[in-house]
Amino acid sequence: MTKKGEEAMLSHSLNRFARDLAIEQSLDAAIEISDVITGKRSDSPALSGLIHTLMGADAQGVSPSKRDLLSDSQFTSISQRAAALSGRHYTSTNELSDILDLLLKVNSVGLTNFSADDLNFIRDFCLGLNQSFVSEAFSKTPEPPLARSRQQNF
Amino acid sequence: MDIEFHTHKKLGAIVAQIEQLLLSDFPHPASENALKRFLDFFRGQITRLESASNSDPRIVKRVCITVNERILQYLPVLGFLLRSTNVRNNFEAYDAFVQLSEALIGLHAQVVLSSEWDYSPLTYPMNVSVLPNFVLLGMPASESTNALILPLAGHELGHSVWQNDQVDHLFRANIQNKVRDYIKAKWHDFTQAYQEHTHLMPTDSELSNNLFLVNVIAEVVQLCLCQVEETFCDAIGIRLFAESYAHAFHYLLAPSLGGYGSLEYPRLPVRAEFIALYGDVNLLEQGFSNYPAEFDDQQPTLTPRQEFVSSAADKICRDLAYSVFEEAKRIVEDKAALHLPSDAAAREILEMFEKAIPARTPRSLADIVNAGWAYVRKHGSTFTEDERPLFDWVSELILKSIEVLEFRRRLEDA
Repeated sequence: MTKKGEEAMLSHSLNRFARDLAIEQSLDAAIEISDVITGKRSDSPALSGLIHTLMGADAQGVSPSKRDLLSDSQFTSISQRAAALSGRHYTSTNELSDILDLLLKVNSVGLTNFSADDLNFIRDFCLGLNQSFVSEAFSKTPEPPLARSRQQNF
Repeated sequence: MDIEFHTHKKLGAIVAQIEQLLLSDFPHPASENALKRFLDFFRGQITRLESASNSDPRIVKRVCITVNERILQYLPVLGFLLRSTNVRNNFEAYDAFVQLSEALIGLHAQVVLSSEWDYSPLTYPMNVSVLPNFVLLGMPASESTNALILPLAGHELGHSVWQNDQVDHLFRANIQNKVRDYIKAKWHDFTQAYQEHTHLMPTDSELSNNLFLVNVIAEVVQLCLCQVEETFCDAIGIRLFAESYAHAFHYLLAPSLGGYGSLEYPRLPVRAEFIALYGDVNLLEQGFSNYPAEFDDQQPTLTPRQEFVSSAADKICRDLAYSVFEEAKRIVEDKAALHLPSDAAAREILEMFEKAIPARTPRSLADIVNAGWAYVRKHGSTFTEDERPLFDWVSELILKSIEVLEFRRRLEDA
């Protein structure tokens, strides 16, 4: 595969910087969605930002296809962990389509016309993402020399 | 008192600490800018905690956990920023690193040069979202007077280039494909490591759809990407500084630091092997008959699963090392051609050093440090340290030459 092709295919890859950013976005999104559920607001800019961070876009601003996203082990692994933390346990990549459909729908029409169940799930999914990324950030040594694993000193 | 109350107090404490730090005298604006960003960030955390205060208790809990993690992660960086104001740092080299960073990353690059109370100079490529475009270069405090190790900052610059150029995009798909191929080829090893999953079959369909397998693939991809990034950073360092990177790497790390390395790095002898194979430096001429053999580290004891994941990442990183070095070279030659080392220029500077005077017309930081290492190699065994230690003498020549480099740069820009 050419470099150009590879780049196009995985423009949604989550690097260290993006994962760090996603910690904040996922938490802000969960708070905003809670406010949507209680009627305090109707949109969630943080969720839009999070979806953009998770999915990315190519140089032309086009999001990757659902097929591309489901073929990326990082995206599916993160989504599965976050879903599991929010109570949905999947064993097959295809089952993650449901989540992806929800996220793509948010991307296109915002949070209007979502059922209460879906909003609850998206909020919990965001909390699951936050838990997953925070846990990863904690366990990751800040680029050690020969990388001792971070030890808790207390 | 409840956790939310304590979290408020902890955020108040760190905000107060940053406000105190901002009262320091900063030799360069980048450190102050970074502190201001942290101040805004933690004030934002206070606002978030307040806005979440009446939310679902699970959200409040996640906010408190996130605050703890952020303080844990960023507190060492605040210490790093404070130490960047210390006169112990080699401020003479600051401008040279700014020029290199601006060439490689762009004019928006902000450089912080500081010391570490940590032996490794490779501790903070903190590509954190709070500090986009910042390059944090740390040198161990015990080596603060030693200009010969400056090339190791090239490795740190590499992390910023990796992020800025999104180099991971170039390799991720290829790595993922290679991981799938590895699992197919090593299926027997896989079933030994994951004995409760022997019912699985290594078909393309299973490798794409079975989420257990996908998670294993993701784990190897992530580990391999870390190793590839470290390899890339060594490649940036060696292309920017040539032999002086190899010498500085050897000086600081050989034969090892006594333990075993993280799985996120290629093993030390392997990193040395990549430098020797792909670094385009004649290490034999530099006095190393077998550069990788100078290094030694122990293999950690791993569980069968860790062993499988680690072996896969090691193998794939090795397969990609040549192309990783080529990509690093391409970027450096494309963006920082004016800063690249030249043998002739280093020889010219060495002649000046041998007359005990700094370089008169240096053109790059690399040439100056390469001349310094050439001086050490040529005269180290006969140098009389009665008056001053060899490294202090050479470092003085290097730092004075770097000042000349900055002076000439400013004249040209004027």
